[in-house]
Amino acid sequence: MTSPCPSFPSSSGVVTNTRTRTEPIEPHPVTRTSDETSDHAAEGDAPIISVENVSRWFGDVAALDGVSLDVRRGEVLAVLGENGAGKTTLMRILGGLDSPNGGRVLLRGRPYAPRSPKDAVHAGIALVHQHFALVPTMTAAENILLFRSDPERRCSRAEAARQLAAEAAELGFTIDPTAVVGELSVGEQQRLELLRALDAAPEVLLLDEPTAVLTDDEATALLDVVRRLAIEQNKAVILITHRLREVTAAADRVVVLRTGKVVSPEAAVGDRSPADLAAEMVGSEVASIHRDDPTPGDVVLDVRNLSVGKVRNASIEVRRGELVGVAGVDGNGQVELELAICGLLEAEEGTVTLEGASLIGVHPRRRIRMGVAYLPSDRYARALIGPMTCEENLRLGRTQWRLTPDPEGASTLLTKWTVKGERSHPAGSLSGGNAQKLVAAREFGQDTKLLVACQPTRGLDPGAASMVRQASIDFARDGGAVLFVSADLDEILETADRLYVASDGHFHGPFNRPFDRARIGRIMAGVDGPSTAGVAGEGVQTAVADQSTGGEAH
Amino acid sequence: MTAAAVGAGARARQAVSAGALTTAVAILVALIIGALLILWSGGDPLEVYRLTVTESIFARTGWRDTLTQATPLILIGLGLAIGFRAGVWNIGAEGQMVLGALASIAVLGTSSLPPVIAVPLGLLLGALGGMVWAALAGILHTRFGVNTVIATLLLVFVATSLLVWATRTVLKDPDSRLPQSRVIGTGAIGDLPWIDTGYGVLLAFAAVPLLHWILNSTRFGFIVRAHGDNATAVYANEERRTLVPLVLLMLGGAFAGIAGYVVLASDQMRVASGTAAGFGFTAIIVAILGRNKPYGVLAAAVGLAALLVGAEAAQRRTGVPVTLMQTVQGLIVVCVITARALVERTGRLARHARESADG
Repeated sequence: MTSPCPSFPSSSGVVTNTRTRTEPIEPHPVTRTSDETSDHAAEGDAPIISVENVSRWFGDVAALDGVSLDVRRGEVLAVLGENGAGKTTLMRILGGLDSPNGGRVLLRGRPYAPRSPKDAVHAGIALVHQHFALVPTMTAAENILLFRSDPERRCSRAEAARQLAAEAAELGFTIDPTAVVGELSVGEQQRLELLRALDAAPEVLLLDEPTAVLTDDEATALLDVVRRLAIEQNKAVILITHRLREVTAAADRVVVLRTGKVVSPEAAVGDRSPADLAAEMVGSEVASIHRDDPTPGDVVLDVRNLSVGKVRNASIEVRRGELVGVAGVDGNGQVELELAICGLLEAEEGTVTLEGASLIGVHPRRRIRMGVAYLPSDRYARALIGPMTCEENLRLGRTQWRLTPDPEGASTLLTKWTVKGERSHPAGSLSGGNAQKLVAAREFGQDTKLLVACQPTRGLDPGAASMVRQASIDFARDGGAVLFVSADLDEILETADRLYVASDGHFHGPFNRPFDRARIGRIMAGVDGPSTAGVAGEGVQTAVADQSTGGEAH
Repeated sequence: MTAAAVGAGARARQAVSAGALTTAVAILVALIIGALLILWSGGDPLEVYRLTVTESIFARTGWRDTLTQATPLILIGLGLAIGFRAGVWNIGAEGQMVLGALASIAVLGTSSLPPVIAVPLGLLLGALGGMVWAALAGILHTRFGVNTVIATLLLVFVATSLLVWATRTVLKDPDSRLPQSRVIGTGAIGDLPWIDTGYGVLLAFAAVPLLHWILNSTRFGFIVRAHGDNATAVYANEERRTLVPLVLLMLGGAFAGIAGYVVLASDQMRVASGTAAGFGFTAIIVAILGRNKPYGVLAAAVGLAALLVGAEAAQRRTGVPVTLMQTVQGLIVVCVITARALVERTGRLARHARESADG
């Protein structure tokens, strides 16, 4: 993934993907046949890793509380759980990044207590991170070489490139070893990340949310590779995920974690229905959101033929009273769109207007006075000032010449949005959900005409996520206009009245209800619609609408 | 809620006292190391330290000198501290100070305006001179992306050369053979009765509470603090990206320029090659030691000035070289900054552990 926004370069040189954490459960899991599971899960083998009663406490909080599980060679064990269930802590302990407070881990029957990731690699355990840790300016082969610690395995770049290509071919895909990583697609980067982990020839592979940033097709391809590693190379794989679809598609057995505990003992995937797994993972039914049909009014936000950065000739309309969704995997121009609408990026071409007044390059305080509320996709960078207090954060962008403290007003807002935190505490101390509720408390003001909500539920627990979704819908029904950008397709399909699909900088649509999920998925992946032809504009949108079978219109 | 407010207040006080304690311990450590150095060079550390304190604070000439030295340090330190608080690094106050002095002498050196006009005009010219010089760095930064540290620092050398050139040519005192300007004449700032220190010290002391108020109770101060903590959020919600660094550099330049005029008009009376005398660089230390807070700057400026004034007296009385006391001054800076970094790091580790527990 290249830097999504040229004017806000990331602080480090390392490619990190901000896509994280919570997504709701996949409601349409790919069903798999049960006979596929049994022929390779080497039963009777002694487990290569046994986690015995492991606990990890941070102060009074238990991230892991007496967790036990086994993994054998040649199988994929899924560790399923919501955000905060303790999945990542378990991964960090196995990967040598953290140590348990209680219990023990056995590796090949002997106690295993790595003190660093290097120890873990030496012991034959490799970790594939949720966030990429590749150097974007170096080639794929150079990245492999860079992380080889064993001096005996150092070699020339050409040799490393040959090894990389061979390794990729063995797993059934191709990768250009001389390509600069920053120019690879997200899916290719994820595969490279996997190849890098495999470079140390581990026996155990830990995968932490490996498909979080991939399209459906890329995810399927990656999971295929993971299965082949287990079957053909007899590796033990632990797949950490919150996506039921991945469990059913790739895992032999599954363990469900909730608030640090194993909810039910590990079992073969086929033994439990996806609905059971979902219920076990979430614990209780998450309040579903209420959405009635809109009565759209005048156009509030009008994006016309906008080109900026990756965005090519995008036209989007949002009317009063409706919530318009923008679906799409990260890095397809959504960030540039968001920044351009909020005045933070100059357009190369085209216009963005709010009831006729241009929003391009508008002064931030004027944007707010015009009634544009903004929940940025990167809320910690653009919406919150961590060291400042919650009360001061509620004031950001709404300051008067002289600051007048308003403790009552601040406390009332925090209570209304159920922010668990005092107004005098730094905003940076809030958890992800509370931090977003703090931003929402500020942005959902009275005179707001347009809400630009970008990945607004990312990293939120299910309760906070549905609160934000419901608030966005209610805001639209109360006469506001909402542009709701999300990489979570289920969320978009649930909340949006109409939607556009972002694919490689093109924004296809609008699509009306009822939505054709399969087709939208294909457009996201760039395998459907004329987006592959590289031309866009009115003609393209018409073509998309014409080709579709029902459920789409202008 | 009141209980919560009280709790927060107690925590805030705790944080303040913890910060002060860190600084105090660090200074103590530096003084102990310094004592060993003095012992090693054959001096009596207790006597040197005693003389340093009594000569700089209790002796009449001592505190007068201390205040005179502290005045430019406070003024420049305040301007720098506001920039540093916002994460805008201005290392070039030395040059901005020179430009302030040059601008005021250029006009006042040949005029005979009454002091009522000449002194405010001098302050204004000083502020403008420093501001324009800092604005050059600001434009280099906002237009061409040059790092402010590099832009401001390198302009110091240009300013110094400009000073040398001006005192030999356009501003040279025709009645003198030395490369120096005319005397400032009616623009001179008189001394306060009782303490024999220029009126500039009043300006410096008055600016402290004013800037404290501005930082904590105005939008400007809010933006400064927010910019230091997360500039991206400021650009997204409060102010345009280009404006904040430029304005803050110019503000720092204005303060340095005013200090340039004050030093010129109450102490040196004419501009020569030694005009800036290192105040612009020492003020960086003042701002950092003062934690970029106005009252902290005041304390650090007076403390550093006293140390230098006292050290000179101690040299006269005990023969311990003043350079040794300058070493102690450097040790204090290193120890304080190290201690703060350590405290901050342990705090960050604790916070990180808590955050990991959340997810």
